[in-house]
Amino acid sequence: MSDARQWLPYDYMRHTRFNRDILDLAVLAQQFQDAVMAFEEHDIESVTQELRELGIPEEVLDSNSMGGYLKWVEDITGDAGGFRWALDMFVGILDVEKLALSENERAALESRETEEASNGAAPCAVVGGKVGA
Amino acid sequence: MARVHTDAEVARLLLHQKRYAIVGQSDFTRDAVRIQETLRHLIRLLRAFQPYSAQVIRDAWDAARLPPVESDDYDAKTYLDAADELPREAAGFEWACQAFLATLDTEVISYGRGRTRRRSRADRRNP
Repeated sequence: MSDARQWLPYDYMRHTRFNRDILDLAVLAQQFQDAVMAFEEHDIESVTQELRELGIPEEVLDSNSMGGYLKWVEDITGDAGGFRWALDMFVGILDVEKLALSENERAALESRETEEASNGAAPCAVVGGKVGA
Repeated sequence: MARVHTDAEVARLLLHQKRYAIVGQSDFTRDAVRIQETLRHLIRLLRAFQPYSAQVIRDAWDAARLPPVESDDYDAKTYLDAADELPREAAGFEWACQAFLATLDTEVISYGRGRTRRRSRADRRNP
């Protein structure tokens, strides 16, 4: 007779930090999606206007050297758009919606109210996760 | 943009032709510094996650003296497959994070980061 038994995620996964590490990654990555999206709102016009309000003279704003820096603003926000594509893909792969957390556990984790919220949470299973499926 | 600048500060920036420092005053730069900090944090988490594998999970179960799982247990297999695959995805995403971090590594952002630190120190001295 075999000693093997059915796998019970709550019994087994509490012996590793795997679930908590996934969730830490997922929460930060999701928060970062919003930050990167907001960052993409900056453009040459908005930065120029800020500098104008700061009191920087028009001749300085129109100079070639300043133009190079302002062009760089556009380049960076363009790169941010490309990066967000990769970020969105990664968040989708982690697919935390498939994690077997209760509403309270999820809310506590996402708000990062207490360290105990994740330590005390019953470990979850990535059942049906996109990568492992 | 935070209205903490003085005419003297603007005049000083213009006098020294520090165009990168002028751009470094913007909300754009402030947000870029925050993005840079979060990227570094994210990279730390991604690196910590990459040593995981199905074998690491199995070893943890063995160390806890848990009974072996049935070989045909679908949920366990799905989980262990994810333990092999997700760290590889994390490594790929870390590459994207590093690439974006490199694009932010400029004198404008360096100036903005230093400015944030100086302001934080000043705030601590004058609460």
